[in-house]
Amino acid sequence: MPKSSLKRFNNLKSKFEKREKNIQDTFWKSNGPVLCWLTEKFPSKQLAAGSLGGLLLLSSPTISSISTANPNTLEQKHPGGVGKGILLREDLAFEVPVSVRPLTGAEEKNISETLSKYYGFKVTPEIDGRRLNRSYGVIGTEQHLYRYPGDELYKHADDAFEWSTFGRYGVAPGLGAWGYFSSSRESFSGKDALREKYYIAVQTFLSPGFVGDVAGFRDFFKFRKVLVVNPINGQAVVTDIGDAGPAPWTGKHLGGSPEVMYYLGLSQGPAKGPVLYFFIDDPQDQIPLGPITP
Amino acid sequence: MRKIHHFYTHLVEVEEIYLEIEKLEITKGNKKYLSTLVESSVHHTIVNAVLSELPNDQKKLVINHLLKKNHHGVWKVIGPKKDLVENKIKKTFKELKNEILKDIKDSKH
Repeated sequence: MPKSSLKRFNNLKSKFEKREKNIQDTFWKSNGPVLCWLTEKFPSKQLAAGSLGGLLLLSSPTISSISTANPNTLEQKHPGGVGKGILLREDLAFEVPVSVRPLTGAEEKNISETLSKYYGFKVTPEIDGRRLNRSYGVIGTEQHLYRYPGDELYKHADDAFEWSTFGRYGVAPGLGAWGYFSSSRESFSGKDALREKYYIAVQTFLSPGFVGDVAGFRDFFKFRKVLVVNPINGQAVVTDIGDAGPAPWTGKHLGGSPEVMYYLGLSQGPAKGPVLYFFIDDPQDQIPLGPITP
Repeated sequence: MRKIHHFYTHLVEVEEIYLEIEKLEITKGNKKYLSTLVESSVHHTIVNAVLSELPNDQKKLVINHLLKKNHHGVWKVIGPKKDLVENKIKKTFKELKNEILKDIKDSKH
């Protein structure tokens, strides 16, 4: 594409994106109370999968503007309409330190108990004596990962909404830490698709004891489920460990796929932020991957 | 661009915008990206315009029907305000369309 055409496209793209953001911000601000009711009534997965044929709801980062309102006031005005996510956020405000630092043992215990209570499954910083280097840190955005030999970026999008929202992040040139998610297109399953869609990259190499038992830790971490919670807005995603990283010098402690960042409310602006991340003890593989509400 | 049928599709002509995007000398992928932004902007703008005419209890019903893609249900809720809402959809869309077309036209200079 000629340089002049590229420049014109970039200008147009910028205008369209700015308009789109303003429209969605207006949409959320105008319909906040009703949407609070909606998050209570419908499982978040249904909303998250909403195509343009339904109602695009979760593409605005200003869901956090709803959750910054006083939950007591919201509850009085809209009985039963205030999501538990707001209440979780208020509980975490007492337990999560102001500065983004490694949690103490007591803090990890309190927070994991709070999260287990709200989500109804066991959330823990350690399983079978294995743990990550920390459970509170700064998450940044990762690119998509190739899922099978011959995979292409556009195949990651199920509909126009996904393409417009997540396609622009591109795909990493290298494979993830576990290689392809499936050995072939033919054997590629829905489960594989979800694993890539909601993957996080964590600093496996910094885990206590990793150097002495690389193979054991690799088996432990491969697609291990992790609950990632944005303590500022209460948004959370059930993720899986799909890659190793980022490098310590980046200043970030973990990375999230474009979808993970979006559903945490961290896909705009600097596209990073502090999150809690704890293992989900799910030996029967019953907890579905994806955005989750308490 | 895959055409998605909404409850208001018969009231708006988005094709004019897509045709202008198609004429741009950019890659197919970039055209698709711009088109999806347009579709999302149009959809949110119109849904917001419709909801703004309804009380909260009716908003919930409309949203419920939208999630189930029940277009008939949406119009049933709107009921006696049908003419008002249709005019608002047309007016809102026309303003947005003109904005978008102006941006496309300005980009060519």
